[in-house]
Amino acid sequence: MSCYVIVHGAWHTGREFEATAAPMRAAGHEVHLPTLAGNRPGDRKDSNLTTAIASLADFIEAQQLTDVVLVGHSYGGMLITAIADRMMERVRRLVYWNAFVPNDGQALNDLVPAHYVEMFKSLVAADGSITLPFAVWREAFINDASLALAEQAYAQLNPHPWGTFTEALRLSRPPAELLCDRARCLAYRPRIRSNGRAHARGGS
Amino acid sequence: MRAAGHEVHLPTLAGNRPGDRKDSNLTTAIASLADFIEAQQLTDVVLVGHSYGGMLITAIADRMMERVRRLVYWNAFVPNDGQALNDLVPAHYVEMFKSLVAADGSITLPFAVWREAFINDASLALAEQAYAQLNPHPWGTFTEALRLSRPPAAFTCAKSYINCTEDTALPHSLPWHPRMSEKLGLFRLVQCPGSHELCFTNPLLLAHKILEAGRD
Repeated sequence: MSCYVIVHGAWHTGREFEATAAPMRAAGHEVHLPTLAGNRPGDRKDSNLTTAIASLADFIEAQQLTDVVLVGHSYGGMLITAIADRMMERVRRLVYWNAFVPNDGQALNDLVPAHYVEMFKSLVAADGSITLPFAVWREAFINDASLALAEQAYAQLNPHPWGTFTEALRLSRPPAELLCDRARCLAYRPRIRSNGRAHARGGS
Repeated sequence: MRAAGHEVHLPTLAGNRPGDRKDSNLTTAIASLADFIEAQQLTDVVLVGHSYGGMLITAIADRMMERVRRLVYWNAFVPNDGQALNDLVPAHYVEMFKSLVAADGSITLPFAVWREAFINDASLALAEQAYAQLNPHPWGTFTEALRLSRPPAAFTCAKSYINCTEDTALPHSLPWHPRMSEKLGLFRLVQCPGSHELCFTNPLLLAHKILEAGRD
């Protein structure tokens, strides 16, 4: 049985993954659903990526988690990449679920189309948070839901700290060189693309 | 879809009706659809277009936006102003099309092409039975550039794109999605397995996907 830590994306908290964690726990796994600094109830919204990363590192250390399968969703990809770079000895495997994979020096805003960044900028509130309009989220994020479920889910989201999108992540190496699953990484030689994605290529 | 309580209209465009002349063009086809919608006094319409039908629903939305609730493109062309259907397919398709134009101005795809690239998920028997139902298509609808007052991305109605993942009517190197779908700006993506002719091979699945794409 494995120890999973699921790292939520922007506008979410860990709570939105309870329904996902339940069958995983029923199968005998240990599943943690931390909520990052900036997305906790009552959090200031002018925080940044450094703050969020520190909150996740603190969680993993406080819980004394090791041999972790670290799952990141969307924005959570920024976080799990940072944690793997800094706490490699605790990570067994990284799982990116439709998540960003940054290289050194890249902010989330560097990984989305330019017109997204323009839209984001127009949405930043006075407290430093950003909220997606329902129409955008309904069509582009939860396109497989009924309207009722989409509305119910949207009501659970929280304003997201814009500073986490603008801050460039510092890494000591590209994710392609993170050897958290050593056997696999040695058997598969990753091909690094200019945009940071790595392709597993067997036998080469 | 009707069994689920929805009102569903299936007009046939000018140029494809039994006995129609085959030297008609896109303007004629658009007018026939506009006439249908007006004659039936339809409002709050979810307008679904398949393939070439994307040219039509785009034109109607531009001209009669007040009647359209949502556009649903099913592996359909999404033209911008000034684009003909032939501008949206690979150059070698246009060359093939030209070699197929008949004296009456119609074009018919050879069975081998249609069977392999359009209805690849059917048995031979179903493919033959479906092919027998097709009619020669007015070539002028492929060559005429559509005039639009704005790009579809600027349409104020909601938009969805249904993409059948085994649809090779356009090559996967020059695909329907995201090449066409992303011209819609904000849109809802709905995917399902199947070919370009899911209406023959799995109409029930297509109905479910249209309802998924068409709901609010």
